[in-house]
Amino acid sequence: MQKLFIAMLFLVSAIHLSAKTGLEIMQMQDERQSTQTEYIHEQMLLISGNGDKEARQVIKNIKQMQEGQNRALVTFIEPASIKGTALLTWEQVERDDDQWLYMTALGKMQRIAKGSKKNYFMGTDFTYEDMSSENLDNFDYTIIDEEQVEGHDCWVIEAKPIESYKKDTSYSKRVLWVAKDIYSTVKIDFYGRNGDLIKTQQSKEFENIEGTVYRAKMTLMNNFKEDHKTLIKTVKTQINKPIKDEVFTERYILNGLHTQVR
Amino acid sequence: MQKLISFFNQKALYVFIFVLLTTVFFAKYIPQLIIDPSSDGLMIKDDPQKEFYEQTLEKFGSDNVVVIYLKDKEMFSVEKVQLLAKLINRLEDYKYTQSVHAVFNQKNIIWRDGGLITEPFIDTYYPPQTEDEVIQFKNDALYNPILQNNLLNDDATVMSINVNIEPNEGMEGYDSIIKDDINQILTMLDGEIKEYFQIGSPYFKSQLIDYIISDQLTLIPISVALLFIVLLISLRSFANALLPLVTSSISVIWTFGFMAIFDIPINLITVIIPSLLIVIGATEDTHMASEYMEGIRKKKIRKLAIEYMGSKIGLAILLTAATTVAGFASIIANDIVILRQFGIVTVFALVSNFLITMSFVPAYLHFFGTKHPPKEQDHARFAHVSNIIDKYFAYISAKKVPIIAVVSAVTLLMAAGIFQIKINNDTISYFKESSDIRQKSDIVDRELSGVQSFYLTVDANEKNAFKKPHFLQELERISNKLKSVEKFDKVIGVNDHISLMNREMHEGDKSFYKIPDNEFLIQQYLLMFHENDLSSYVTSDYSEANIVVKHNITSSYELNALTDELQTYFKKHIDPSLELTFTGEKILVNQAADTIAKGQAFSLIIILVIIFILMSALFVNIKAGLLSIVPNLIPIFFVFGVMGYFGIDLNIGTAMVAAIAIGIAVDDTIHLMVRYNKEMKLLNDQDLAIKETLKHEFRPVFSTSIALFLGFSVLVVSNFIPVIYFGMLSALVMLLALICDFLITPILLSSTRLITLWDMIAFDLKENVFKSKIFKGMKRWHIKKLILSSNIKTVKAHEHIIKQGQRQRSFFLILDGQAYASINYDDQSKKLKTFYPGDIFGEIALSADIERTADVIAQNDCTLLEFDWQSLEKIGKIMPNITSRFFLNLSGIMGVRLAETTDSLIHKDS
Repeated sequence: MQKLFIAMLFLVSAIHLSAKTGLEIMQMQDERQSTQTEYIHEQMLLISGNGDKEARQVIKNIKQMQEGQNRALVTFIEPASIKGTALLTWEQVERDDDQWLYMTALGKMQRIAKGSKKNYFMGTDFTYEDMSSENLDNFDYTIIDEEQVEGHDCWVIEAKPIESYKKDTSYSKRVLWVAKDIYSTVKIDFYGRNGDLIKTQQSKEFENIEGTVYRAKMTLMNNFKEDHKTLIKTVKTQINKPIKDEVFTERYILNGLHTQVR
Repeated sequence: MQKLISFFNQKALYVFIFVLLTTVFFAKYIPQLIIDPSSDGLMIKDDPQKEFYEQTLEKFGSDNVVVIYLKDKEMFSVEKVQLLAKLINRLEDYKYTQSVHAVFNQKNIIWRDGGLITEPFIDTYYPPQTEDEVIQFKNDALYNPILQNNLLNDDATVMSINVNIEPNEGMEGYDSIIKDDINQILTMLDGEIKEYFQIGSPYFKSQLIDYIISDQLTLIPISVALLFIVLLISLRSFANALLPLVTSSISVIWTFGFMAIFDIPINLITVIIPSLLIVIGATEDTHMASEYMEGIRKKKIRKLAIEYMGSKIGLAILLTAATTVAGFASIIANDIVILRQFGIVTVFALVSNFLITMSFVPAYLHFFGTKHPPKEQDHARFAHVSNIIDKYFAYISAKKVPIIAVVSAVTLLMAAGIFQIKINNDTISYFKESSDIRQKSDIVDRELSGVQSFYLTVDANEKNAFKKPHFLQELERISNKLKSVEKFDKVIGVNDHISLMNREMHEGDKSFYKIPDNEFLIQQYLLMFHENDLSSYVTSDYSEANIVVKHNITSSYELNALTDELQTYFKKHIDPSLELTFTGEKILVNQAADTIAKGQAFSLIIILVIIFILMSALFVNIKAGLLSIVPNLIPIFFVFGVMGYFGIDLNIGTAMVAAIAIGIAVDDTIHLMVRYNKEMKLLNDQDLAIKETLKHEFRPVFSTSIALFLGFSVLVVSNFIPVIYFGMLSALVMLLALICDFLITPILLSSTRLITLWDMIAFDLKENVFKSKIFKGMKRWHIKKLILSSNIKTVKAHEHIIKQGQRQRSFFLILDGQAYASINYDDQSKKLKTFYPGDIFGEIALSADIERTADVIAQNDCTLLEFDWQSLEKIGKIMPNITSRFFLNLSGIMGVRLAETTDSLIHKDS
């Protein structure tokens, strides 16, 4: 009798869970968190296995273009030795993104021929893939559990690449903890191609920027595989404030305008 | 010793029980015995540089690397690239893998198609599908200067995959597990890749363990069989021939137990202890068994034969055991861990073996000793040998000077070879050229960069120093200097990565393969790397850089000479604020090479001093000390000469030869000296005593030397070069020492009269003798020594000591008994004077060639000392100080006697 009761409970909860699918949750999150433009000023702390630290500051300008693809300009503003170094990305559909690297000391923009999304971004523990906007069509999302993380009730969603996308991602799967209250990803476990957990990203101190848009003030990427961590602290976030298209051009960068902090 | 042996004979059962229980006690620990394949033991004990090396490893990554060598002319075909990609994935998935480094997953930094690429060469999960993609991959890989001759050879037909393995010191058989698992994974290449194998640390260590076990399985049975045959021939009794094997086996069990209790592992040197113990330990048993056989022949029954054996086993056995142990003990003085352990274990083994032999042999013979005496035909043979020895001795006595001249000249010539000896402590050179490990290592050395590597750490002691052009350019200069050394196959540092980035950021322009002058540019380039891309080459705070040097040098002296030369160059030409340190397992092991040489010299000095002091004290004569050393030092000079002229390196094995061999070889010299002392007491004639010594000692000395020669020769079948040469050279010493014992020792002995300490203590003299005027002012000890060095004569009662009218230039001292002087005239004799112990007579004849003026007749049995010029001259040579006092006293006595005679003549005239 008791067993039957427990079985019933499972059935009820399963029905309850299936009320929203993983994909639906991800879509809702996308809708709620997406912005037209975004300006972020971040402090980055790279922490090596032996505790050595390296601090950097970056500003990011991101703009969703008419085609729905993003353009992003990430500029280092500190330390002085790398100030002005920038990576300009134009997201593309059905082909590799266009990327240009600007090094002030070289004084010219260099095209990144094959911007592998699997590479680490500028010595951090985030790959380009981790930082790009997620195309929901490329993954199968399954709710596998519900859990509380950092004070938020979360759906635990497993994101597995679809067959055709497997080649383009370095992960065999990701497990995302999406906060039910703010539709933001609180935690992500990244699993390597061989199925091993390789790193975990955890975000906290979510701040409501505007409307349904929430952004974490602190994000830590703990890279077990490389025994390295990257801590990101947001200094300033502005959304949906106009950013001119020319910001995402070579001329703008070569004129040194990209290092301006808002 | 006799009492002890008699005691063990009586308590035979208790001895058996005690030995059995002790053996069980030690045997219990044997399962805990470990085999150590690491090279730690080859390093210097508590070497501070070892700590530095460990810190370097911590900073720049593990050196526990499996190197997979692959060779195939069609390596870059679609199928093979796909297969190798799969292999890399399998290796990455392997539970003990830390990281895998192959051409496939390295960062491909290249300017191509109008843009920069900074991604792995290929995605191993989605490897190239087309021929074009594979060709592109191959061309990119060949273009990368960091990979060249490192992970890929010049024509892309040879590749290596380096798998960093997690450290797991505590896990039993870890290296073997790794080796086997990797081999299992590699089976997927069967029939696909033409040639492949693994090498590297786990393989090396696991192979070393296999070799050690294989050595044990071959050396012990061969030693046992050989010894048994030799013993069966010389002892002609199965039960007696078995005896040394039983005691040796017991000693081996005790020794293994001891090693387990004190955490001393079996390594490539301690591996030889059991077979050495079987051979060396058997010598005492052989002597005892041989005396027992003699006892059975004389006494017929076991008990009495054992008693007889006890009476014969004395000083010589104790001494020879002591010198052998001292030889091995001198090795403990070495700072090389492995040699120190060897010294400790062998000392325990030999002392145990001696104790077991002394207690167990009487007990064993008590129950199992043969009851049948040896056949008499031996005596006929003895007569034959005796005849040959007489002729031989006559020959060498006649040719003393030329023999000594030739031996000295040859010895000097050989000794000159010492300066050509090279020291080598390189681990790869410890394996035979035909060994699997050496052949594989040679292939990798030949086809890719060397299997061997070391690090040059460059410490700027300043954070972010290696982000600055100055320091990086200094590093580049260091690196270029290293690259200019032909023997260094590959030199990689952080400067290479930055230079490569600089080149590719300048669209592949080769002239930009250098460190830029702009600090900001360097720091901006560094953004393109994840910390771990460079973690083998620079610390995360950029204060310290590490240059990895791969080479194929397999000799310590060559590598040491090169690093010394480089260090001197760097001191002159590189910014002095940079601290440059060569480190690495090889460097540490190589640096221990000098310690081997010092240790060898120190051990040799220790053993020579020990033998010299022991023998000088025992024979109460410094000359005896020298006499025991000279015939054994000659073979050592020979061995050094052989090493120098034949290019045999001084390594952990050969370094032990001198001290150990001398400790063993001196045994036969001691046997000869002790025998000579005994014969001298009996025969009172040096030449006769030497002949007798040679006749009696020829067989045991010859047979033990041959047994030891064969025993050491067995080591030639070992898997390890140091062990092989240790065996060969020690066997050579045994043979040469045997020759010297029969060539040089008799010549040296013939000019020496030996007295033992025992003789001195046991020699009982009448008190009046000490008070004799001739010994006035001399110490009792000196008196005894002088008497024992002189000709002692015994004369029966009523026999003449001196006959009136005879011409005989000697005088006498009565030690025991009485004699009287009588003068004969007109057919009458008149008793003049009675002499008592301490009195001298006939001294006038010594100074003048005149007729004896009276008879001296023994009143009862007398013991006398007779001094003539010849004997006084000999004593004078041996004990100059004592003899000068003796002559002073003698001249005093003669002066008084002259005065008395003059006085009596005056009175007679008046």
